[in-house]
Amino acid sequence: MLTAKGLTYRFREGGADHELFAGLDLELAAGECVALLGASGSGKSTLLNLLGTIDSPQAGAIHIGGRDISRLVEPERTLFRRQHLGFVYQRFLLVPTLTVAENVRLPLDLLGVPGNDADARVAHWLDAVGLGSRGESFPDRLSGGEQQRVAIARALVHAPELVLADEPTGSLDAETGERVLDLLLARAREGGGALLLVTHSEAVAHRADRVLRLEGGRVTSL
Amino acid sequence: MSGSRLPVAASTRFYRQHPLQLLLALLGISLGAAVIVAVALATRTAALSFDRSLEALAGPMTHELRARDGALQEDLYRRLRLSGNPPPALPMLEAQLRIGDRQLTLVGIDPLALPPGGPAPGAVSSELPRLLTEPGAVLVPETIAAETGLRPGRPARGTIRERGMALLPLALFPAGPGDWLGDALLADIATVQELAGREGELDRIQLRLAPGEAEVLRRALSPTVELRRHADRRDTFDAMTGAFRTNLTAMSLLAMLVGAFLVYNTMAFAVVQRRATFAVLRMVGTTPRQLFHRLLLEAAALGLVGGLLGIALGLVLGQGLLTLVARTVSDLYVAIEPTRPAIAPSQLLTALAVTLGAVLAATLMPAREAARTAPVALEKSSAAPGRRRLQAAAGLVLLAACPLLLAVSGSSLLAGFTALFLLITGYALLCPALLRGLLAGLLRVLPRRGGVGPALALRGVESALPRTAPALTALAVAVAATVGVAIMIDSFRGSVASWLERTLQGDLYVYLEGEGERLAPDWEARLAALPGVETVAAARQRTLRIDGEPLRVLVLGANAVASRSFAIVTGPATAAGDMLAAGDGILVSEPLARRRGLTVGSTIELATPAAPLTLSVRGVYRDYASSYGAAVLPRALYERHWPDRELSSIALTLAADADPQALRRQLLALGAARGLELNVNSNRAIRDHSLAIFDRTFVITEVLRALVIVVAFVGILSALMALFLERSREFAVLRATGMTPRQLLGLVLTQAGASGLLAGLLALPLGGLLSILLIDVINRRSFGWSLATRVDPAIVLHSLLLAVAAAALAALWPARRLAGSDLRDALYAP
Repeated sequence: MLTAKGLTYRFREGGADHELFAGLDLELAAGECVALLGASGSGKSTLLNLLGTIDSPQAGAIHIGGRDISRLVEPERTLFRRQHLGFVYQRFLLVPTLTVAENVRLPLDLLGVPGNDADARVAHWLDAVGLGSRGESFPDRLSGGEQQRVAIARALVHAPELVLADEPTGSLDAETGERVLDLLLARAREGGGALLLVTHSEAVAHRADRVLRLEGGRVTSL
Repeated sequence: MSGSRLPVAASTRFYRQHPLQLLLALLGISLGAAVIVAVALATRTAALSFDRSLEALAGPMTHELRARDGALQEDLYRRLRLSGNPPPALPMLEAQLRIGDRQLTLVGIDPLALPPGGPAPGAVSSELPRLLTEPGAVLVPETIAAETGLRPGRPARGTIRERGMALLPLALFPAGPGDWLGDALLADIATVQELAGREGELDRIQLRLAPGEAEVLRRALSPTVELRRHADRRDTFDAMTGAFRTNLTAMSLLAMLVGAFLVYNTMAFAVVQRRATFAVLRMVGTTPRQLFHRLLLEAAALGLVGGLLGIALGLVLGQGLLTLVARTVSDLYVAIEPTRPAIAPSQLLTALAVTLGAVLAATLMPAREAARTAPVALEKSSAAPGRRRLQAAAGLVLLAACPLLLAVSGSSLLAGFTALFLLITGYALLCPALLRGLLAGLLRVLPRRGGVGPALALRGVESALPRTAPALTALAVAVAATVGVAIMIDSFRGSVASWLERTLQGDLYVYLEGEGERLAPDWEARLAALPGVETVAAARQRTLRIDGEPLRVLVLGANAVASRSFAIVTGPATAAGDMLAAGDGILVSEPLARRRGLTVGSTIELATPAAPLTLSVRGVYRDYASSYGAAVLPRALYERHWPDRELSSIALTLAADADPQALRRQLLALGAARGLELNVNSNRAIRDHSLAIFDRTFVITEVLRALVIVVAFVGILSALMALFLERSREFAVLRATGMTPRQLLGLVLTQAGASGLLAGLLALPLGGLLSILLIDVINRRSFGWSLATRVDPAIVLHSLLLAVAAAALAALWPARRLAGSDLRDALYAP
């Protein structure tokens, strides 16, 4: 479902070039939940950005669903992301001026999903994350765990082929984190979409189907 | 996403959550639009007022016949009436009549030829036989009767051209729609000819000509008579006042430009504040183009609402400006009475379009920046160094384009204004880089032992720069505009004062009140004979046609006073004295020379009562009296070609031991004995009066300048307010660490004041460059005047204080709010 081959990524900082990866390879099968461990600064988030069409590698190719996304240019990159990808971040990243329901509905709106269908899907996902009664609330009225559940609902509402989660439980307490993780894993396993989960936590990682480690610019299986 | 309502909802709610920010943005936009509308309203109404005056002068008539020089002969009217198919024609002769201390106009007409819609129809028809036969019979407007006490049937005494005479008011007539001769007494033309001693003469013949008739008539006229179309005077008015109106429009556009910076600031800030939202929108699939369009739509909505509010505000503001515009037009060009304010719908639409255009242009950059927002890249600064360099480079390119444009554009005023706007825009683009440089310099020289206070204040300014730079740029541009305009006005005033000093060489000036009033030739000798008078220099001022164009010409004799009173800008310094002594040639004023491309040696054609005369230009002199142009002729030459010997004014040079006040009293008595109310003024009085007119002329510029500052102030207020409120958590940390509310207030005000000082320092070079452009390009291309630049240090100091005060004042409210806010709320705000 996802194949990354020979990824090279360099960035410039303090007047010097730094190489984060050189020839990085990665594969994910459909419906597979993969956890990616790594030390701070190892490039986990950058890799997620490359896979999520948010950033581009200097060399190498990324295929998602058979399509080479590393060759895409704007606006194809955005359209691809809109249709095929879902994101969950440690900092939730909700739109503060939209209600909970509107935040979840946003991807459907962008995809032009008709009103009734969109309403039903939003209601379904809000129920699924346990926030059926909070649809009209604004994000700043929710706790951290609730905000992360909204972010998960938004990442899943349009049934993406790949969900990229960057430390989704990093700012949550253990119990809330556990529930959030349950949601993500269940969705991947039931819906057939792949999940790539970046985490620091060995405990979180070991709930995935496969655990990888990013170190020295290379991905290795654990 | 074009059909998606959620991003719209997000924007709307953002402004709902920041109502003050929205209000200030709308205020800035509407102030910019208001100034444009107000200037359009004032100038259009002034033009309409002139039209109304023309209508009053011309009534239902379309043309008039005048002698090219002197008076028309009455015989022409007779021949016109006897021609095959005579057009409606009304002969007129005017005289200045003095009754008591009132100067009035007496208009002689042919009562039998009054066209429908003419004045006083009732009084003329009921009193027709007596009007035609009674000596001194006049009809009196009711308004004049109320002021002078003239009553029907009660004889009165009056004076015309130093001759006393009996008048017989027959009837009063009301002012009304047919009152197109204004507040004038009416009489039969023969009566006026007799009273004024101008038998057989007419001033003009008013005609109503059908299309085509004018050309036929013109061909039949002798060369000494000219046929003028009333509508042509409007063109002359437009030509005369064109530069003045252009300058007002430019000032209003400057207000809009500062308003545009304000919009830029608002939108840039709104983008920065919503960076996280845009990042999320990008992450979930919003394309850059969609974001870009969304922001432009948002700006268009702001522009539309602000523009409409601005139109309403401008209509009110315009009423105030109208008085100032009318006064300036009356002082400098032709007397007009402001009528009901009027503005064309097309002008309102133009103002709205300019506002929308400015708002959209100002939003382009922030919208592009928003569109480039990387998905989820939250913490990047608002402008990457690469783009900052690009922006600075673009600024340098625009600045470099400025002198190039001026070099290749000849005397185009439009190019001058374009250069002005290139300069402002180019400098504004450079401003963020300059601000950074200035601040870095300040931080480097900051004493290391000064404690954390100064560093905290200046680093606070530095960290806020990405957000405050647009507002500080707007403030710098506004302050620079005031510096530039202040230097220009100050230089202008200084140049006019020096010019008056040079021009007014006499000690006392004697003349009659009222345009066209003239002294008899024997006054020259009469005044020369007075004890205490050393020399006399007589002048005759009249309108002559030069190269077919009516121009004010000053006729002077060869004497030391006249020779010294001209500052020659092109030609030998002695050109005036040489020409007057030789009795040949002509001097042209600087504006005329520039407008017509004349220089020393150029030839012009002067219409004389006989054949046209070709004269060589002997010099170009400085003259701030008319932006349209004027000329000086030697008296000897004038008297060779014109029979006229009357005088407009006489300058007296007094002996060292003469008492000017006593002589003045003696002169007034001399005039009164001959039924004349002489004006006798010292050169100082004339200079003071002229400078008072100058100051009045620039009141409107000062008002517009103040409006520009208000617009900028609104900008800095909105930027600082939003910034400080956004940094409330940072300030809360300081308070939690032990900073008292008073100390916090001091810190915030220091940061605001330092920001203002930076803007003020940045404004000075731009202000200097603007003043050079205004003085050496805009002023020259508009009016043809050269000015000596002078920079008063007080202007510089005031500008710096203005910038600091504006910024500190703008920060006062947010600072007080921060200092008084609940610490816990601020610390734990989401």
